[in-house]
Amino acid sequence: MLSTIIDWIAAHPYQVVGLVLPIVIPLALFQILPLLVLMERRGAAMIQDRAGPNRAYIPIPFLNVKVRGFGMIFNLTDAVKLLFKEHFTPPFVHKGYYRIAPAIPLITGLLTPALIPWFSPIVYQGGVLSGQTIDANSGILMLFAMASLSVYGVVLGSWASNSKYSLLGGMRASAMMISYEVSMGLSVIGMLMIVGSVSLTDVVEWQGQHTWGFVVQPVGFLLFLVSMFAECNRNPFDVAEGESELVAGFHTEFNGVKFMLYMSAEYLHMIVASVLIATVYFGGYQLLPIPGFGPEWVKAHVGQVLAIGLVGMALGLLGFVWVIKNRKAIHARSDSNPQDKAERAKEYGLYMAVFTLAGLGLLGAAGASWALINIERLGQGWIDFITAAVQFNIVIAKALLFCWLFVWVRWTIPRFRYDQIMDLGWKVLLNVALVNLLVTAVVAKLIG
Amino acid sequence: MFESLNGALGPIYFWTFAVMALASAISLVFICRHPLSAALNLIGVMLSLAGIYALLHSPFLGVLQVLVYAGAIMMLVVFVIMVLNQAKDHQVPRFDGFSIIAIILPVTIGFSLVGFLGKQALKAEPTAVRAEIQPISASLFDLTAAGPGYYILFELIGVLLLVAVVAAVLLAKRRLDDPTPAAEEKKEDAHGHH
Amino acid sequence: MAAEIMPTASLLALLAPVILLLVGGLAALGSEPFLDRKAKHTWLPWVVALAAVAGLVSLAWTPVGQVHGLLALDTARTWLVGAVLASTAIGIAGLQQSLSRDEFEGGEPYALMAFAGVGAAIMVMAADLLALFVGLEIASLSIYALVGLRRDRLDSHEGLFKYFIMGAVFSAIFLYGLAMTYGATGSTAYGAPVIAGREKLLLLGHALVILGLLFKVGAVPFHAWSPDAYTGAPVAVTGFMGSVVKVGGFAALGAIWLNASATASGSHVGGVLPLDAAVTLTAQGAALLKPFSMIFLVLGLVSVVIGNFSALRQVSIRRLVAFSSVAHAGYMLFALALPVLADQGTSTVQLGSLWYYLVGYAVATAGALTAVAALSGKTDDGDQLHLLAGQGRTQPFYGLVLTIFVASFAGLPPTIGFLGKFLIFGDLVGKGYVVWAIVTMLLAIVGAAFYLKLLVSLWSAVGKEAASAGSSIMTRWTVAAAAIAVVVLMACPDILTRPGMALAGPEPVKAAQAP
Repeated sequence: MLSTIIDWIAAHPYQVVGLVLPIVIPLALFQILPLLVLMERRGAAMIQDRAGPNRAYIPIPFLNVKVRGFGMIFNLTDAVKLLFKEHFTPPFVHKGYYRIAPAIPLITGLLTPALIPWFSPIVYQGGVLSGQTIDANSGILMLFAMASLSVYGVVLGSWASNSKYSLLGGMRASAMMISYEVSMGLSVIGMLMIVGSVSLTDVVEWQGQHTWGFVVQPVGFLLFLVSMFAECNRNPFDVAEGESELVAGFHTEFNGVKFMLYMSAEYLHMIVASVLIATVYFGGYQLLPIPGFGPEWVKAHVGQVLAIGLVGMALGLLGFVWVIKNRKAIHARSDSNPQDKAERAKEYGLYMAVFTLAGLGLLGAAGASWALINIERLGQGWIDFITAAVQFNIVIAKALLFCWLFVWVRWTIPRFRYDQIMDLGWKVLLNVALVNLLVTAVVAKLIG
Repeated sequence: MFESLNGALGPIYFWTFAVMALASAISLVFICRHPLSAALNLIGVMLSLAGIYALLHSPFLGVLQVLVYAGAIMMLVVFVIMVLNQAKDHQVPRFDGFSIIAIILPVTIGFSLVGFLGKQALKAEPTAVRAEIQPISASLFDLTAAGPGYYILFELIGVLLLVAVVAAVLLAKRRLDDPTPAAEEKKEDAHGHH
Repeated sequence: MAAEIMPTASLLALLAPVILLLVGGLAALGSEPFLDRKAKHTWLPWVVALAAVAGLVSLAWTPVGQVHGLLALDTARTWLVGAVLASTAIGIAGLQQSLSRDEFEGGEPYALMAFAGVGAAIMVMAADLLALFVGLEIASLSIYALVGLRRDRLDSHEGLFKYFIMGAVFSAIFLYGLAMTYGATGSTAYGAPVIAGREKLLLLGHALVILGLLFKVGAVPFHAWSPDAYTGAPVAVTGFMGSVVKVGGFAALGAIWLNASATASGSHVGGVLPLDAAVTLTAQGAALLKPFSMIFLVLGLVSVVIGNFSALRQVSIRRLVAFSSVAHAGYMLFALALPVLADQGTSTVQLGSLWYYLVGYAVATAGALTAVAALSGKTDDGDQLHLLAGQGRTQPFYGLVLTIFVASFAGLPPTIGFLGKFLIFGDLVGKGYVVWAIVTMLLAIVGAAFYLKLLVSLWSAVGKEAASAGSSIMTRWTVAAAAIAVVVLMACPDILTRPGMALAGPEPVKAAQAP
């Protein structure tokens, strides 16, 4: 029985991957969440020139080292705390909606990855494995639909909380969502008009054959970026949360796991928004913004591409080792107490060892991939899947850049006032988007 | 194998959506006492309908149903309900005189529809793609003389939207002549002083 | 073979009147923010009114034909579009009168009135339920806003609210019927052939569509909104909405009815039927349609009864006009239903008397209420009967034209209203409904009583010198033109025809027999 199943899987690798991917990809995205939280905390510390998250640690018994993991341990403590906290339900809330609401943004956030083209379509004997789970022509519209549905989580939660602060936050969120959805849709239409298709795969393919979207649609890109900030309820548009005037806005009355759901949904939406920006305006899984290096080229040279990527990562790690070395030296010169100095020195030493090893390992892997990954040795199937994995990582790498932009903006620009947000949405973005659309249409018609 | 799986799942999806739509609709009319619950049930109806559209090979229609109705219009409705949160009539009786009409009318129409259609089912090519972007745009912007001429209606709908915007502004704007909020405040101050 | 199928026409030539009016409205809307308050009420009405008049003039050169089976123009439609455009011009004049007196802050109402005219014209020209619906919505949305113009008045809010909510519900009903009709025929065109086995679905669809349209024209039992909406609106808007919505609604009703009789007789072969077509009705078709004709007749009679008796007690002219419009809707329902009521065998259906009545009613209503707008004093309350007392003596011109319009309402001889009613009563007697004719005639005399009350009050000597805001040139010219039209159209109804097509004449174009 088992052997028949294994045989069947071996005989139908593409189908099985197609079946598994819709589950694997959202889960993979979910794994980026802790990284984003870390990025947020470290980024905040960096931009505000202060110490970052460094208090939580795990002591390692025999080595006598405290592992702080650059603040990574905070995620662990956060999760433990939120999971094991008392599930306190305030007595005045509307129980049903109060329980349902936090799940909604997370569900929509986990559905959206199904609409992103993660890799170029793989043609195999008897079918096509699309990089999009739902290879719909109206994929981008469905993405917007999901985004608009996710706000119901905020609105419903705020209403169910039965508290004035929450209600105000929810009302702001719903009004903002209606306002910015318009300019979001209009700004992206310019790009779709140039491509001549609403399918995201077509959009990415077009960018591979011509150039990336932000070159042909710079205004549309900026508008889309701003709208995306608003859609994600991120600073400077996070008036729904607005802790300076609304305690914590829509999630004032939420705690424990429910609060965690809201938070993780916010970060998940951030990732999805970044992926969408990368897909529509930054070439998606395309390697370079010049034609000639499309999916076919990548597939033909996948070993080399992978090797270059690995070398890049290795260099990054080794550079990081150098940074740690400097930090270690700085810390040794500082005037903290000797015991602390000794602990830190050990910790840094551990990191340096681990990262040096990892960097060297990556270099070795790069060499191996350059030498070993080619179609003669591995056959078409493995090359296909490795190419898909490389393309997936290209998308993720681009998206992480935009995630960093989200963090950067959050800690740089102060929150807008609510009426300023409305003015910006209706009086600036909408009109600019319309003009952009008009100009794009005329130019596209003239060029043909 | 996967094709047969899809074939088997089709009816399951259909019945799920159909039951969801009906349950939400009945709950909307008869069970909900708060407008917000009613609105949420309406969203449920719309989402189920969107699913059924997609099953009917009209994914574009389904997506628009979610995007426009569930996403935008119902969001506006929910917003209004929340603004009126403290209104007196936020609890309505489940059954009143109007419920009778609400039962009789749909039941009559429903039965007559079933009666008319049951005898002669609406036949349709099950695999034909209908409301998808390409066919819609092709027929909407078919400028040839033999085409359906829907582009005229498209332009007219542009006029309709313009009219709606102007009408809304005309009816709802606080002061028609002076558009800037600063000027409005100034005016209010002036009134206050005199 | 049925009546004439219309030829294809050039789109721009066919739509020229509508496009001219639309451009006028857009120009008014676009220039509105750049004008100060006084200039708005000086220039914008002229822009829109001139556009409407240009459209009216352009009607002389429009082709007879249809485009894409969506919109069509024939003799009857030309005259009905003409009535809409004329009503728009007259309404704009009255609106200028009202708004400049109230020092209204915005100039958008003029543009909205132009758009409403566009919508009503599209309703008239529609040969397809989709086009009809779009036109209906354009007209309705503009008129909702126009009804609610007096934003500081409670009755305006009430009228707007009632009209808007009920209008939205009936629009939905209309749309529901449209969907069913589409399901039954696979087409949204009027009179598309039904798919075998779906006759009852088509029936249900048509019933709902007609229900929606009956609401728009304000016939009993869907008239509840009209008194409040008419009272809530500024006087000029009352006249405008009374005329254009009725024209659009009855044109659509008539077109659907005509197509239905052609389809029921099996003499419809697709294509667009002209509104003035002479449709050959077979005995089978007549039998099929007879129950519905009777329903229309009964609704018409009830409308006439309720409209006339309710109007008797009104002191506000707007309310009076509202109920009288219900009564007129009743007469028009007679004109709609009667031609289909054949005794036996084949006969020919023509709705000429309906179109004739409609044109006359539209021009007279718009003209009358614009004249009242000019006569009423500082506020809109001046349309109360006792405040109007003696105004005819202080302003004899408006007194005279108002008299002509009211005479037309009442159906007195030198006006178009007389001939319209005469055609209907004659048709009633001709079809053998003598008792109905006598009853309706008596009811018309009841109606004449309150019109007389209005005239007596207008010309009585008891009135003080109520200060009138004075009237603009545009009001004078348009109202005078309307009054002349009301008289001239009575004197020579033959001008309502085009060569080769008879509108109300005694000799309909003989159509070939159905195979």
